Amino acid sequence: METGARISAIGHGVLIVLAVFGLPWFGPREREPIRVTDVSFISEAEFEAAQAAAPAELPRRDDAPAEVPAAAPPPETAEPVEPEVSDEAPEIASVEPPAEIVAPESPDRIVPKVVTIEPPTAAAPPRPRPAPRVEPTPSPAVDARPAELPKPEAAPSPEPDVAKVEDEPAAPPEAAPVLEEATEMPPATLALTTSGRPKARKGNQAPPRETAEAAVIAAVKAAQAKPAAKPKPDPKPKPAAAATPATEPTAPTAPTVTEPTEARETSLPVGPPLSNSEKDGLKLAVQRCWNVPAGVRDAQELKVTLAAELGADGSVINASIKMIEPRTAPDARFQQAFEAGRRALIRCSPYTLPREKYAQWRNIEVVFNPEGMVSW
Amino acid sequence: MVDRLRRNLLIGVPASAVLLRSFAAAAQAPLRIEITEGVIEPMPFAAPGFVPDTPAAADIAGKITQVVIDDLSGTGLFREIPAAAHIGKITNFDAPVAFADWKAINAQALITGAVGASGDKLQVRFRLWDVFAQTGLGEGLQFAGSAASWRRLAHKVADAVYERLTGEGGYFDSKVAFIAASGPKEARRKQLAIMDYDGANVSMLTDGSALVLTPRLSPSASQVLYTSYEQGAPKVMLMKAGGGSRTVIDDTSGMTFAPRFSPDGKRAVFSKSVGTGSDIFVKDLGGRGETQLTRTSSIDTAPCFSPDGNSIVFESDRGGTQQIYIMPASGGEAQRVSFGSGRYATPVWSPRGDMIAFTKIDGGRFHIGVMRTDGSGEKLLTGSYLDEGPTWAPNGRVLMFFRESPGSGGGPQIYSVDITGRNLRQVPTSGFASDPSWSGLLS
Repeated sequence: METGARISAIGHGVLIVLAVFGLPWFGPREREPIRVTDVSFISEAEFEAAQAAAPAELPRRDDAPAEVPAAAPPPETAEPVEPEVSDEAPEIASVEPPAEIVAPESPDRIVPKVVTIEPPTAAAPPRPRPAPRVEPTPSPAVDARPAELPKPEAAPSPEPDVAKVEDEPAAPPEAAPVLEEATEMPPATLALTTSGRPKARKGNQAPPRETAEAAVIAAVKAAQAKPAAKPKPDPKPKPAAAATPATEPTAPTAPTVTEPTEARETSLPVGPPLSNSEKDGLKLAVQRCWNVPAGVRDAQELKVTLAAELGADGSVINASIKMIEPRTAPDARFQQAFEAGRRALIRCSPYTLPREKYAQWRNIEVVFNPEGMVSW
Repeated sequence: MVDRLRRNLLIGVPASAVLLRSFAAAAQAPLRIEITEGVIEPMPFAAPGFVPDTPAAADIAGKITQVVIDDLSGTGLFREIPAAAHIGKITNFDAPVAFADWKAINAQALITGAVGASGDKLQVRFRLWDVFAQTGLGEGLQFAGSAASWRRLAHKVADAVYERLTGEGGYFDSKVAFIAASGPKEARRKQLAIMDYDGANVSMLTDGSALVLTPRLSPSASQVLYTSYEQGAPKVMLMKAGGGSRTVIDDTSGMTFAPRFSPDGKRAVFSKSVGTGSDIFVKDLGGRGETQLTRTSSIDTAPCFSPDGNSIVFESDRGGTQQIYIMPASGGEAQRVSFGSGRYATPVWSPRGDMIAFTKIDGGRFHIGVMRTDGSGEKLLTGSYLDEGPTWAPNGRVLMFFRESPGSGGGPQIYSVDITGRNLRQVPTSGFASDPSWSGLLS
């Protein structure tokens, strides 16, 4: 009995030990993929480690042994990395060069390049790609924010956005170049596609918007705190202006816009509901510029709904304008109606709307209904 | 356990994030407004002089640019911003456009072009831009032709621009047949003539020795049907648009008049009067049979095919007054479609098929009007001492007609008007002109 009990106890003990420590033995296979994600997380260090595994996959495609592919890829990645770093370092503006370089090579080696791109920013230590890029771009926004700088004094803003604002002050001096960089936001989009990480997206796109939002938040706080807000008005318009043009060129990257939007909406000033007069003000402003396409057949039928996003300064972001009703133009006349509506939105921009309610009018949907305007 | 925890975290966190986002999105739904009023004004556009590829092409490039501008401005839908107001200049057709310069002068559309000339050949290429959206509208196009056809090249460019900006087909590259009149009112000399839609390139097809009326241009502008008193009584004749010999399409006894081509240009429908009244006939212009479509003692006249060739609209006094009726192209029972006050005449089916234009005599005044093919939606576009004989532009958006001024010194002139009733303009002709007939768009 005792022996039996001992055997039983030992057996159970072994089972328990196996259950506890044995899992990792079986687990590794399952967890490996998770580690792969970690690789993307880090970069070079793990990327090198990943390369060891990568060759195994590549050779299968080529039907060649692992050695050959392993040799081929590394040189490519290595080459681009070094030259890029060297180029960017002198230029200081790291945004432009990476964009150009990444674009051509993107097909196969997107990830590695992303990593390599960061090193330039690594001139400052960090590795994470998004972060470094974000920093340079926000600087443009800084131009507009000089006004925001006083904000922290008036009221310390709790949110991260504010923190970014604080970081920016260093850059303000360069105005013109900054704007250009801002307009070249596309590199940010490239980073997005390459890294595929939410953080990267936020970082990349954040600059223009965060600046705008920060401006709004600061404006609201300033209004509440009363402090010297006079300097703000001047700079604000600038940032807005800077933000708009910046977004225009980035037009092609419309999809990227949405993500940061959601993330920030929570931090945007909502304020009390828009009053009817405020809505009417917007309505009047748009209709003032809406040239009804009266020359079109059955123009009264050409009712279209356009969706657009406004900047914090009330300016419409050209690239965000799209027709949502009808989703696809039944014929060329609707395309004409869409273009007429788009022109109206752009021409009368920026719109005068209460900034403290920015979250409510950031996204607008405008129905252009010519039914009562034309008879044929 | 650890795995489970990880899985839960991996799944739960994103899920909750999605939920939170959805709530946030719902809380901040887009601000929706409806615009029901706007402005109806010509769209301002800029058309800086087309860039000549060679110095030799400079002159013709300027002329082509001007015709394009005139075409578009003449529609009433566009307004040219004169070159004097331009801030920017286009000196290189392929260079990027400085939109800010054009935005500053509020040009909503910008047309850039270039003209190349080599020997007798001309080449015109152009691009259209949406200045505020800072984007091209459609693809750039290129037209080539002989130097003599430079006006047609310009019209082609204007047609393409018009089509892209309105979503409607153009009508600039088209011809109009008309009756050119000269001399005192009591002894007018009338000649059959053809011109460009804008009054240019007039050519006379008859010498004026015989009275001619109601010319009708074939859709391709290659032939003309008209009524001539050359043989004493009115007879419908067929002539090539370039002039030359003419043939009587019906050499039987009786008067024939009010001809019109079928949509395919192969048949002619006309009125024929033998004794009292008149009936409608259709004849194959290839020389074969003739078919009588109506048999009444009333006056059935002014027939016109629908664009699909299946129906014929005409005027008749069978109900006691002059009204508009529609019948199958093969004849048969006709249905009255006009029920307003006054009398209706010269119905013309829109090339688009959706409307019928007509002359209305009511209260001692003449009007040009349009109505839907079922007679609803009647709308009078003009009114005067004498407005008559509407004809449709190829795109069915514009009408030409002639207006006669009263008095001994008065005479007919051709006018055009948009079917919205706007943009009434006189078509420039060297003398009196009447009975316009618009061709289709030239190929």
